[in-house]
Amino acid sequence: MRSKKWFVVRFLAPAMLCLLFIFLYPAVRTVMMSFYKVGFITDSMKDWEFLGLANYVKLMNSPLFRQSLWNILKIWIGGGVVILSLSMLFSVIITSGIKGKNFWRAMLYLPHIISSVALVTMWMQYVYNNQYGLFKRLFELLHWDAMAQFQWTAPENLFLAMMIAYSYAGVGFYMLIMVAGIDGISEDYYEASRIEGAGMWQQFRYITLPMLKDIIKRCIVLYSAAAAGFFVYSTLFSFNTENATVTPMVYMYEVVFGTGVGSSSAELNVGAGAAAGVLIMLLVLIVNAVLNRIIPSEDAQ
Amino acid sequence: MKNYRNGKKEWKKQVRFIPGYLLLGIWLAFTVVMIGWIILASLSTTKEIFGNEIMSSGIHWENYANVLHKHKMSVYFANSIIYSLSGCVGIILIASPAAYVLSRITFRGKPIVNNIFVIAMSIPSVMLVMPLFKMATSLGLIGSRWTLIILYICINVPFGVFFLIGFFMSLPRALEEAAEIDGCTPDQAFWRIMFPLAQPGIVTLTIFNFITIWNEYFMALIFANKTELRTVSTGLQAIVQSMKYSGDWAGLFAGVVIVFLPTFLIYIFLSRKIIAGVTGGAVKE
Repeated sequence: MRSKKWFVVRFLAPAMLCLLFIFLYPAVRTVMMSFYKVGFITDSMKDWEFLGLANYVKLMNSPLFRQSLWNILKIWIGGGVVILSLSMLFSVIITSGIKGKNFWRAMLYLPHIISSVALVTMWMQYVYNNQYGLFKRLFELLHWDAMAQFQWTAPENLFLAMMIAYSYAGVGFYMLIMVAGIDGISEDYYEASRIEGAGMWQQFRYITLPMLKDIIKRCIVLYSAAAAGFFVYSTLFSFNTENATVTPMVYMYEVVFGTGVGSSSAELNVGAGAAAGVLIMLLVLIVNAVLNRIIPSEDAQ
Repeated sequence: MKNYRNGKKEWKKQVRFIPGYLLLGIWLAFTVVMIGWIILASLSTTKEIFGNEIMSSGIHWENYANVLHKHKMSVYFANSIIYSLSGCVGIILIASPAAYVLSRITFRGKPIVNNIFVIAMSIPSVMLVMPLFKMATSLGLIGSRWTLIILYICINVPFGVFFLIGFFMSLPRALEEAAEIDGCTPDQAFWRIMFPLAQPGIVTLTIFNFITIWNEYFMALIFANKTELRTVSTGLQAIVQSMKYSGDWAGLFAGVVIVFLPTFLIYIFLSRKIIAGVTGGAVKE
């Protein structure tokens, strides 16, 4: 009995130490930091100055942070609707009985395994380029002159350009999950509905969609977490923190680690960065709680 | 499948799917043109790229030599290999014993341990980086490769444990019983029998971890902000920034190809395994 206990401890200890030191302790410390004034990230706890909720108040009064919240809302709702509907559409097409299912599935998922930096560079330096870009050439070929003249990387269009590139990369992942869900629906339902004379749309509306409720909910949860941590595309699409693409995560990075974007961050301290992190996590938790209310899980008792 | 013997009926059935094929075809064409053009541009000169005549003067391998040596891509590439490989090994060594214990042995406090793993996986990295930076500074690890190696291992352990529990559960219990009768200690039973048997899961997990670490950007940006320590992702970002001044676009595209080629090739050969892993990991609880 004693040796069994020792065996369990020995096998679990390294993983548990990881959890304690890399996840739980830092998370608790970040929450604490958000209530203090912390001058430098390397300051030890005794140099912190308690502020209460002042960091949060300051954040909410910062125009750049408010802009970042507005952007994340647009990314979450706009990007979410586009990405999840496209994944749904593609997963239905792929499971409808077309040839080469595995090939199409692999092709759609491909952008997900390519480095985001490489992918964004392809978009920025090739697809959106205003001299030799793919879109410019394509629209010239089609004689859509207005579209060919469109300046994708101009500040006012940057957000749209970023979301197109982000959606292209994101669709494949959710499509994979949905295809697995649709594959799990018994063929009998479709067979029976076909005999009753149901069309493709009716089959989708009355069989696929209700049966995929849990899968769709999971996709929304995963997408919300990804959107809350929206960072790579934002920093890569604007080399200086621009209002158009700033997100809370970018804001936090600039406040804490940034080379100083100047006036907007100088007044703030590391504690404000921590508060931004806490707010991001709270947003995800709230979204999950609301989703659980709206779409109750079938298997949860 | 029932229409198999009737070719004409099958053909008619496929006609219904034309809109679907069309959509997928557009997506495919875009992907092929984008990646194909980048590869061709990386072998042309900057002048050809702007003149819309890529590949007109033969293949220019010197773009690759340029970006590898002058722009230090060879350093970033070697770093990323070190981070990815040591990360993959470390994750398996820590996650697989834990997953084994959690899938096989009942002990007091097990539900709590399970819950801690699930909670850890859902903590976003923003909540972690600031104290981690402070810890790394206190330990004198800033400016050393160990920081990222340790972080990449630890950050990916919870998912590894979660992923491997399913694989260990599927192995028959009779195996350990037989090992015990033969006089194996629990340690030997694990490393000699169960660990090799869980290989399909371990291989899939390792492919995932390699791709994840290779493409990682946020941690690398914060913890390896020095030329000698940079990964391919942050390195490419630095190259893109400097190319704006040097104007070597062909070299820039060569850099892009070097960064995406390793994971792209892995995917070409192992896409089936990777896709099965994604759907298995995300759909199952």
